[in-house]
Amino acid sequence: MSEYAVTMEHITKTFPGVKALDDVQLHLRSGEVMALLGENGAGKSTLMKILSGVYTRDSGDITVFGKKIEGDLNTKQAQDLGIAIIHQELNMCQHLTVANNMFLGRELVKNGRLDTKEMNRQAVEQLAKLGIHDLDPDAKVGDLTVGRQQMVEIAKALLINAKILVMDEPSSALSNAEITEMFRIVRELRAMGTAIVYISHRLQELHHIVDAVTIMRDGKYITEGRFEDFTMEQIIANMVGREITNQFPRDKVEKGKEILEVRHLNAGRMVRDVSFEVYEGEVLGFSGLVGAGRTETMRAVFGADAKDSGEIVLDGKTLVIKSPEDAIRQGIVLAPEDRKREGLCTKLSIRNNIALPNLDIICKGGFLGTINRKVEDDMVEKGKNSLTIKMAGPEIEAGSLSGGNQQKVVVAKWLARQSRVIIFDEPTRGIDVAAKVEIYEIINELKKEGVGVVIVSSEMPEVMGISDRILVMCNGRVTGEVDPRNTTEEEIMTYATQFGDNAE
Amino acid sequence: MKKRIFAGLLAVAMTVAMSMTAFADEAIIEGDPVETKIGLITMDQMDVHWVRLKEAAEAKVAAYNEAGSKLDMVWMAPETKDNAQQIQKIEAAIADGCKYIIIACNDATSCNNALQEAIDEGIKIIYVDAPASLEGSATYATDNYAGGVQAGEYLKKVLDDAGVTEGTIGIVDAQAGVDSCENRYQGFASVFEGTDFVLGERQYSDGDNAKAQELANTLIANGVVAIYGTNDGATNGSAAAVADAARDGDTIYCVGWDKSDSNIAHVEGGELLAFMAQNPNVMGEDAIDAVVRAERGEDLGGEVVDTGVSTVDASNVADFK
Amino acid sequence: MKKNSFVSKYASVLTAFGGVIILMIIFTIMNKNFISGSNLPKLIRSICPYLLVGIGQGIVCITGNIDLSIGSVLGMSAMISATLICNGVNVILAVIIDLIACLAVGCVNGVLVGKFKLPPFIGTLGTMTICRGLAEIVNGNYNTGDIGNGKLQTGFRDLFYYGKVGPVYFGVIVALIVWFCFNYMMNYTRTGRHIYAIGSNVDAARLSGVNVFKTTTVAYLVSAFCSFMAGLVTMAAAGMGSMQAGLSYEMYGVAAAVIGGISTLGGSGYLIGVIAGASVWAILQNGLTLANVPVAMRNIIIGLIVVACVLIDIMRRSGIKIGGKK
Repeated sequence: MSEYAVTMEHITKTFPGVKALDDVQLHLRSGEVMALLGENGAGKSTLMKILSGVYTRDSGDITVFGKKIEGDLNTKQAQDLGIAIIHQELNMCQHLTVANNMFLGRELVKNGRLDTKEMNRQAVEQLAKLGIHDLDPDAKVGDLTVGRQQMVEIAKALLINAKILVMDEPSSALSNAEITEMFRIVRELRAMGTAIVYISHRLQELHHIVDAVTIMRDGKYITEGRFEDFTMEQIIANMVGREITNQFPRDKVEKGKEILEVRHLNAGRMVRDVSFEVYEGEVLGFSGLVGAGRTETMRAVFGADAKDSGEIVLDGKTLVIKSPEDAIRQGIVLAPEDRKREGLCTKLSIRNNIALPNLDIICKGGFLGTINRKVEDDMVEKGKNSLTIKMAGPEIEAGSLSGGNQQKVVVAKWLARQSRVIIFDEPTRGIDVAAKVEIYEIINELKKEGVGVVIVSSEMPEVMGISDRILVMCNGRVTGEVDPRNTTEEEIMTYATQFGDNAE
Repeated sequence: MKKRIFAGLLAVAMTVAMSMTAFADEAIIEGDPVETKIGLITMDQMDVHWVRLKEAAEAKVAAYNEAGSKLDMVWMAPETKDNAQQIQKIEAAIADGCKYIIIACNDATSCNNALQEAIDEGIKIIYVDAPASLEGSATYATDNYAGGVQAGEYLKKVLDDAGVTEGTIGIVDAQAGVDSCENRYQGFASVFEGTDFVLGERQYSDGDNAKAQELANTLIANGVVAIYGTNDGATNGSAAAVADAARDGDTIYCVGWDKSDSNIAHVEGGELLAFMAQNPNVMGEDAIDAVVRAERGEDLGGEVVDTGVSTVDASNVADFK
Repeated sequence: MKKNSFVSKYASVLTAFGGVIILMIIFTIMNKNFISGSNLPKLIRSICPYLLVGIGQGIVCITGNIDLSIGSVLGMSAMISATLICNGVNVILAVIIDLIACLAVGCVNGVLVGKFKLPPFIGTLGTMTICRGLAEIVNGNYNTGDIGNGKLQTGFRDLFYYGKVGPVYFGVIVALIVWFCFNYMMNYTRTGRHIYAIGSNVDAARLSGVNVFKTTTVAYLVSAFCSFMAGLVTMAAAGMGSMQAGLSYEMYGVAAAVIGGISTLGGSGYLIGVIAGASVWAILQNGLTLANVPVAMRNIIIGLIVVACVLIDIMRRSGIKIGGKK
C-alpha cells in the first residue's frame, strides 16, 4: 500500500462572484500517474494552482508526504516541497538559452560570476536522464520546437527535484512523435517514484500512461478511481453530467456538386503539386504528420501565404487570390490553427471580433461608411444563437472565453457572410469533450446547408470520425485518399510516411 | 510713544524697501501716480538676458508703486523659443486684461495677427529687444546690426594685428529665423565683404552651449581661423571649444554676444576675445517708463531707442562683473 | 557550427559596427579632415554622452520598459553639481550629493513602474517633467556661473572632458569603464540574467522566482546613474550648468541602443552594440558638418540612416525566422 504523496480534502475557493471549488478532494500516490479530468471551467487548473501555491485556498486541508500544511502555501514553499507545474501556455523566456531557463531564479554563481559552464553541464546531464542527448544547452529556447521546449520544462522541474509534477495539457501542441517521446519520459518519471497529475482533453491517449483518475465538474469533486475500472463512456458521462452517445457525430448527407477545385498548387517546399476537390454535402479531412504541409496548403489556398503556381476554382470560376482579403471576399475562409493568436483578437470584444471581417456588410456608404449598430447587433445575436456561444455579453473580451466558445466566435465571423468554403485547421485543439461535440455538430450543420467543409486534424479519431473522405499528405504532397468508413489508422499512417522522392 | 515706534517701524520698512531696489535705476519719472496692468512677454524663461530684462522691469515697477502708482506686471514667457507658444502668451495677456504688452518677438511677422488683435482691443504694444514688423507704440532694443558691425570690426582688427589676412570664419548661430541673430550676423558679415576671409555656413546651436561646443569643435577640426557666436549659449560653447583647441596648441580667434558669468570667465581666461554686452536692464526700465508716460497722456509716437551695446574685452571686463 | 552561431548570435551588433566603418569611409572621402589628428580624438570624445545614455536606456529597454526621464536627469545632474560647486561646496561632495539625487529618481521610476505597474511611458514621462523642473529651479531659474578654476574643479574638468593621455581623452576612458562594469553585470551576474528574463517573459520569470520589482528598479537605477555621469560630462565640458542640458537625450539613448541591436520589446540585445550605436550617431553629427552638408538636410539624413539601420535589422531577423520552423 504505497502512501499518498498528496492529499487535498474539502478544498474550497471562491473568487468574487464565482465559487471555483466546492469541497473538492484529491488523493495522489507516488509512482503513479493520475488523470485530472473535467470540462473547461470545472476547476482543474484552480485546484492545481492551489497545490502549487499560486492561489491560496479558502478552507480545506493539504497534506504533502504526510506533513500537514499549516496556513497558506506560497510558491516558494511549494517548490521546496517538490511540487512543480508545467503550464499549458509554456512559461519560458524565449530569448534565453535552455540552461538559462532551467536555472532561472536559481542561477549558479562562482567567484562573483555566473557559472555558465556548470549550469550547462547540469542541464545536459538532466536532459540525458530523460533520454534527450542532442539538445544544446546554449540554444535559444525560442528556436526550439514546442515539443522540445516542453522537454526543457520537464527537465527544469526535475532539476529542482520535483517529486510531484503537474502537467497541464502537455500534448495539445505536440506532434505524434513528440507525444510518444513525452509518454516515455512520463513512464520513466513514474518509475522513479514521481507523483504525476496529468490534465488533458485528449481522452483517447490516456490509456497509454494513466493509472488513476479524478473527475471534476462545475467546481465539484465527482469521483475518483483506477483508470482501468472506467469505460470511456462512463468517464465522459461523469465529466459532462449526461450521456454522450456519440463522440463523433457524422450526419449522412447526399453528396452534391463540386464547389471548390484546387489544381496543381505549389507554394514553396511544403506544398508541391497539390490538387483536390471539395463537394457539397461532404466533409473533406486532411491527415498527415506534423510538417506534412497541410497547414501550408490551406494558408496558400486562403491567400495567407504566397503561392508559386496553381489554380483555385470556386463554383466553376477561377479565382485570383493574393491575400486573405481576396479569399474572404470571394467566399473562402479559414479558422486557423493558433486560435488565440491568429483566429481572434483576444483583447477585442466578441462583438468586434465577429464584426471585423464583415465590416463591408455592416457599414453603409462604402469605404468611409459608418458602422450600423443594428446590423452589427443582429449579426452577433444570430451567431450567438445559432452556435450557442456561452458568453456574459457581447462586450466582454474574446480572450476571456473558454476554448470551445472562442472557436465558436471564430466560426460565427465566417457564418455571417455566407461563405462557400470553410477550412478548419485543428478545429478542436484545446477544447473539452462536450464542446468538441458541439463543434462537430456545427460542422455537420454546415455540411447539410451545402457549405464546403475542409478540416485539417492531427487527432486521428477526430479526422476519422467526422470526415466523409480523407486525403493524406506527406512531405508537401498528397499521398493517398481513403474512405474513413473503410480504413484503419495504420493505412493512413502508411500514406503519411510515404516520403517518396528525396529529389527537390 | 506709539507714534514714535510706528515712525521707527516705517523708517525701517522704507529702508528695507529701498535697499531691495538698490540695484535698479530708481530714477522714476516724477508725476501723477498711475494704475494699469502690464504683460511682459520675453522669448523664453531661461536665458539670462530675459531674466535681467524682467528683473529690471520689476524693480522699476516697484519704484513706481512705492511712489504711489499701482502697476501690476505679469511675466509671461514660454518655456522655449517657440512662435506658437509666444502667440498663446499674447492671447493670454489679452484675456487677462492687460492694457500694455511689452514683448520681445521671436520673429518679425509671426505674431502680427495676435498683436493686431491686441491693438484692436485698445492694448498698447511696446517692443523690447526685437520688434515685429507691425508698428508699435515704442521700441527699446539693441541695434543688432550695428552691434554685429562692431563685433566684426573688433575681430578684423585683432586678425590684422596678428597678421592673419585670409581663412574661414566659422559662424555658430542660435536658432534659425530669429531676427536679432539674423541682424547680428548680417552686420558682422558686412565687415568682411571684399576681404580674403570666407564666412562658413551658419551652424545652429539653438542657444544650447553643449551643442555649440560640439559644433565649434567640428569647425575647428575643419580648419577655421576664427569663430563668431551670435548669442550667449553659442558664444559660451564656442569659447570652451577654443580653450580646448588652445591646449592642443591651436589659436582660434573668438568673439561673440551677451553678458553672462560664463562669458566673463571666458574673457578672463583668454579664449574669448570679446563679447557684445547688451543692456537688457535698460530695455526693461525704458519700457516701464514708457508705460507710465503713456498712461499720463503722452503720445509715444512709435519712438525707437537704441539701448546700446558695449564691447567687453579683457581691458574692461572687470567693470562688468 | 560554432563559427556560424557566433555570427548569427551577434548579427545585429556586427551590422552596427559595419555601419560605423562604412560611414567613416564615406565621410573620410567627403572630407579628409574627418580622420585628422585634430578631429578624430574629439569625435571619439563626443561619443561618450551618447554611449552613457545608450547604456542606461539600453538596459531599461532589455527589461521591456523605457526611460523617458534620462534627458531631464542629465540636466538635473549638471545643474545640481554646478550650483553646489558655484556656491562653494567641495567638488567631491557636490558630486556625491548629485549622485544621491539622481539615484533617488531611479528609485522613483522603479517604484512607479515595478511596484505600481504604471506603463513605463507614463511613469517616466512624469519623472521627466518633474526633473526638468527641478533642474530649472535648483539655481533659481538661472543657468549657473562658471565653476571656477580651483584645483578640484580643474581636475574635474580634465577627468571628464578636457584631459587626455596621448591622443585619448580621459572622458573616453571613464565612459568605457562604465560600459565595462555594466557589461559585466549583464553577462556575468544573476541580476543581468534576470534583466533579460523579465524582458523576455515577465510571467515566466516571476513564476521562476525572479523578483520583478527589484530587477525593474535595478534597471532604472542603472539608467539614472548613466544620466548622472553624462550630466557630469556635459557640465565639465561647459564649465557651468545649463538648464537646457540633456534635452532630447532620452531619444538619443534609444537611437544608440536600437541601432546597436537592442530591441525595444525587451529580452534581447547586447550592450556592446550600444558602442556601435552611439558611434553611428556621433559620426553622423560630426561627419555631416565636416562634409558641409546644408544644415537643413542634416536632420533628414540622420533620420533616414537611423530608419535604414533598424529596417535592415528587422529584415534580417524575420529572414532567419521564416527558414526555421514548421
